[in-house]
Amino acid sequence: MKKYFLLLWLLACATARAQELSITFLDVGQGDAALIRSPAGKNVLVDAGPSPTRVADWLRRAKVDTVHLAIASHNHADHIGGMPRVLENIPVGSYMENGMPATTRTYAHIVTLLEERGITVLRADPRRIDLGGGAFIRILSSTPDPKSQNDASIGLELTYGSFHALFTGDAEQRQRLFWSRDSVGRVQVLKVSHHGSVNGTDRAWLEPLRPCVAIISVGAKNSFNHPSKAVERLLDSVRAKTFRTDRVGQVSLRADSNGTFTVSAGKPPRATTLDASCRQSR
Amino acid sequence: MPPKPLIVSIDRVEKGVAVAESDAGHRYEVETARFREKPTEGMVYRVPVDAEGEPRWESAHADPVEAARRRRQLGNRMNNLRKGDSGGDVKL
Repeated sequence: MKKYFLLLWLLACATARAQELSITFLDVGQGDAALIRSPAGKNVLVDAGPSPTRVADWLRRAKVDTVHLAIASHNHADHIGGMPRVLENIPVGSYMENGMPATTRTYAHIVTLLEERGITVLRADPRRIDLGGGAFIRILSSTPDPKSQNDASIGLELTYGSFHALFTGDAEQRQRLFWSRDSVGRVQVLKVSHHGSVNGTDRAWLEPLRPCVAIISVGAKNSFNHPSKAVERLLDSVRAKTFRTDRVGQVSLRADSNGTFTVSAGKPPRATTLDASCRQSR
Repeated sequence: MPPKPLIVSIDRVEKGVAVAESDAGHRYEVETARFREKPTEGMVYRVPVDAEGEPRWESAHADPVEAARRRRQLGNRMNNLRKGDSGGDVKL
């Protein structure tokens, strides 16, 4: 009888886990990479960090056998450095980038791999991407005629029921102003733009978002003095709990469609569960 | 015979640091002040190297024609790849 209840309990746990959305912000040093896994098991990679091998190795260790969509927020090496190895080693269903070509060898290599493997490239137009299981990504409209890769960053709003997360690439003021007009509202999780640089965040941008959790993906002792102390103070002032990957390593989130989510980070990982209004729920 | 110059592309410029990527795949972080003219994102440079193989950034020559050629060619190839996108919402 005990065995029967244990089996039922394990089955219930597995079903509950399958209905969760997960986001993992990888520790890639000075750069960005995150993996979204929908409740239906669809994997979306957002950026691939600066290292040629780190993200592909992580995906292999995490037993990710398919990336259904790979997105390069913009074509800087600290976001696409690991993309060639991902395209070489893991089946990728579709690819999205910002439409502003770079002149680097890494970018040229990506174009060649996309051609060789016949991977469909999606335009970063305003559109909805259904990840299955009730999770969606909305591609935000982009500022016309951007002058730099940062300001051509693709903005992604990830929604799963009452849970919302915003991915911002390295967007600077011009792009953020544009997004502010694109009905971007309250989010539970914000991937802080441009590694916490002062040109990636300001009060006008943060106040409507009021994130519960802010992720700064940044390398220790980087050459650019990211993140800015002023940005960290701003995040504190809107009561966002900030996680820096240089301090806590990888940050993992699991979200329920009711907006409740659990953040695990640190060595060893410590878990905190918050509800959709940022209240610690257990 | 002098060593061949490095060919690098400026990946980005941040806080007085230019991140350059060579066509051999090496990345360099170089103070922008070391260039004769302030480097810009996407510009291609031919950089002489000294006898030890170290790049002489002070003598780097910008090659705007090569930078434009790369942008045009890679942009065209990427546009061809986008032809498979029928537009609208997507279900994965």
